[in-house]
Amino acid sequence: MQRLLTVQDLVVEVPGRNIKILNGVSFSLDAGQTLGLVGESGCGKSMTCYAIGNMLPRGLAQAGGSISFGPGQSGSMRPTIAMIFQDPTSSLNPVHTIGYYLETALYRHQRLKGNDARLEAMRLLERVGIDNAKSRLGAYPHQFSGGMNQRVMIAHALAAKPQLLIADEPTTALDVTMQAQILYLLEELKAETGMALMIVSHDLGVIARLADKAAVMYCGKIVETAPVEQILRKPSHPYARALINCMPSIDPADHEPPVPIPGSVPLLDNLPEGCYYNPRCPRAAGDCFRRFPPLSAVEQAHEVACYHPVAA
Amino acid sequence: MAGFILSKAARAFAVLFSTALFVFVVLRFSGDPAERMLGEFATPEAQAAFRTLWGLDKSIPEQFLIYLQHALQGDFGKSYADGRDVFDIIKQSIPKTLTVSVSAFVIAILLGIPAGIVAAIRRDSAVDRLVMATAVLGNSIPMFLVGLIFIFIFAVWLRVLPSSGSSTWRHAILPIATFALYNAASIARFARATLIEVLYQPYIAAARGDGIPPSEIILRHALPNAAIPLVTMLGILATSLLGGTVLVETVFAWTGMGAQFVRAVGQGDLNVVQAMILVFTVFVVTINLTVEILYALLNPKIRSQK
Amino acid sequence: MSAPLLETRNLTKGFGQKTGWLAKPKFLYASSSIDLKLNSRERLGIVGESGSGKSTLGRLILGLTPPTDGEIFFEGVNHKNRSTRGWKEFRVRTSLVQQNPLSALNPQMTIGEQISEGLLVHHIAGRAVAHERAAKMLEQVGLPSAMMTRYPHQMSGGQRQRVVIARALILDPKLVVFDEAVSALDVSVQAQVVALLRELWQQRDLAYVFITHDLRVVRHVVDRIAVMYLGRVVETGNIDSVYEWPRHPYTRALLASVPSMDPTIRNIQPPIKGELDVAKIGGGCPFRSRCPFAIEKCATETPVLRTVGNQQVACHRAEEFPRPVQVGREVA
Repeated sequence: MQRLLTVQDLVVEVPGRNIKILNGVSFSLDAGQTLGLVGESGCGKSMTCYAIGNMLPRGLAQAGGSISFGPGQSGSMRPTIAMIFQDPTSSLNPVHTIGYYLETALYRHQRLKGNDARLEAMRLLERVGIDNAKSRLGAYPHQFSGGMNQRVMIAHALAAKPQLLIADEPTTALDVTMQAQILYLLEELKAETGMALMIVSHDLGVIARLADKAAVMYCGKIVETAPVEQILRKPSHPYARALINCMPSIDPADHEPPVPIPGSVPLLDNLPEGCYYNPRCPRAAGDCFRRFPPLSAVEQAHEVACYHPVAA
Repeated sequence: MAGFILSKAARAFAVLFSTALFVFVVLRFSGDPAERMLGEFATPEAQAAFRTLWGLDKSIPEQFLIYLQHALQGDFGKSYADGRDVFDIIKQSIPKTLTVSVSAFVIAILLGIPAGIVAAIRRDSAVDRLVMATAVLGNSIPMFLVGLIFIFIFAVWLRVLPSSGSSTWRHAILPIATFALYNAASIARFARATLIEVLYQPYIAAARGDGIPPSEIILRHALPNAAIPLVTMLGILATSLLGGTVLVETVFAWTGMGAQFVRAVGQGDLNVVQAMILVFTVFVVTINLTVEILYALLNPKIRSQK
Repeated sequence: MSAPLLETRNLTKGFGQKTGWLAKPKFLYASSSIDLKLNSRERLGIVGESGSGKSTLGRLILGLTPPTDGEIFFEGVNHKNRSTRGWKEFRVRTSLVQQNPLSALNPQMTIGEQISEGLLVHHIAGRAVAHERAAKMLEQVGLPSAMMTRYPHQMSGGQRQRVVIARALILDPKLVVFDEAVSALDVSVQAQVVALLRELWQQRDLAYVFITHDLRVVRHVVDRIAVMYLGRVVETGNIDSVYEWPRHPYTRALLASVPSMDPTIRNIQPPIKGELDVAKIGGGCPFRSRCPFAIEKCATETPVLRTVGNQQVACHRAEEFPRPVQVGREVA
């Protein structure tokens, strides 16, 4: 397994103010692997994607740590990375046709021009499940539904022949039946191209479906990372555990209502001393109030940042 | 698309007609031209003779029909002041007005848009602040004052340019400059704001993420979107130029339509006023029509509905 | 309780779309012939995807938009026959909680002012009493009464939604309509609000209409459910019955589409392909263009709700579909 990506102690902050959106994030990704980033709003999962994809918004800067890439394509260091976003329609330029969008990407990544580009664009559209590809090339994003635009974005990503696809909440804005189609499409593409996938979602079902391993984030830090079955069935970190318990299920035999987590996520400019989760944690004691616990292994490939992890 | 243009043209014509009618009626209620033209000391017989001469003793609908009849043949009547054909008066003054306003508009665009773009790209930098401060200053000083200041600096003090009149091309420089600078300031501010808003959109961030170089992002991705509201704004600005013409021509004694219009209104020279308003209306309607067509060309959301 | 609290009969709402100057407007039906009954203290969930018409139904119920056809009765009174005074009473006895708490709250007013406003506007209480009741209401939704003087922007999303709920309950309504009320909240906050909604229902004489696209959340808030597709109710019944054995192909596909938290369930074909195509509506069943089981009859005869098993289903072939082995596993 080739190492594709290593993120070490990544810090992203708002310069001038004491706010760290990412506060020392570390994880790795191998070729062909799928990593799921889980957490609630403000935990930094989207920002991690932007940092890796080299598109940090204006006003934010990487202030520490490193992002290093393993072997890339054709000898270059950085692997080909493509990204898809949450709201597909607003991520597409309203004055550009779908054809322009795809063909410029094909030129950028594969040096295809003219008719070659057009044909390949049509093939890509068909691959992602859009029929009448020829007539779609001249259409504009506002003429399509969210689901179709997300497929277009995936086609655009494929044009880069990526080794890593970063997907930031790709199905959150879609209906559940469309979500099922997009998830299946991503599964197929993963199998076909062997690309690695980094998927961000607040929906654990999406993570369960796609990820090989998952990392749970809280207030800019990773608090647990493990193979996905372990995160879902035997989470060690109290927050991960609480998060799983508060997801409602559709199983009619399960009559347990979702268990709320008391309190609320602290604001990034007013973080508690020690472990950020201690005000809400039923197991907090001693060192929890003094220093944020470092990530340490509890099992093979399973790390937790906790002084009192829940035993398996 | 053809149907779109046709329906807009039909609407434009309707506007023209109703404006003509409205103005016609209002003018005839706005005081007695006989009194205004002939002065206080005119005798009632003289006034009556004046009215008969100009057909003002007939009923208003009748007057309007006669007017329409003549107008459709190109005869817009004669000026009450000197008897000249209104058509000739307009023919003479339009080029003068167009020279100043069109040149000023073009220069304003050539100055304002790049300034706004630069300010937007380098927002919050020294360049941005400088450009914007200048623009705000330019907008804050009333045009007539700017004109007078220019006259003072260039005509009185430095003596390089003539102060007023409209005989040579040199006479045109100051009026054009005054007009252009004010509008350039408005354009720069608007262009900056619009472009910044576009630059914040998710699709621009996505383009950055694709690794597209900044110059291409501005030119191919951002500007085409910013152009849409900008075109609308330029259209509004263009129609406001007509009002500005009057001001500039008065300050610089530039004998264009604006100056004529002011004189005619003051004197109650109905035919001239009527015809000028029609000309202004044609300008406004044409500009609006152009803007609508341009807007449809630029904005695919409108195009796909037609 | 013989008369239902809320009843709709043949409720229909169409929106005319003009395709040109002279063209006749094409009607899009956001709701077609909806018959619903809700008794006091019942909790009904209305689920569907975008384009299902569920939000329109909520607005029709609350009289925020007039129906094209059909009737709505609240406490026995037809909306059509309601007097001005009757509407005022209606507004007191019903409430709406919407998706976005930030825009539902006035940024210029304090929390206390916003919650007590209803009491003052309807002349139910004077300032002092209203203030007191507002503070109590705030505590009932789990917020400290010290927050009365705060402004919306000083609170978190979950706190704001609680304020919206407090404001909705201050007048002691009998019916609350929730339109995607928890969809914009984080999972942990959602769980808190869901727990709050359950608690409040226990303590008060309230009926809920809970409109959502989230099939997981709705299970813990309601007793009965109505599944909508393109303006029609395709299946309705007790929520556990429907989830255990969905009888309509759309309901089955919907439930099968929800991603399971079991990581071994992967690589499953999507239950339905394609998407809603409004242009394809004609006679017959609205779902037939995407239904893998459609037969000729489906195009000519619009199915009506009829009893199959424990619920009401609008499908000609409802009896043919077996109980799924596990929710989320099978469609057929």
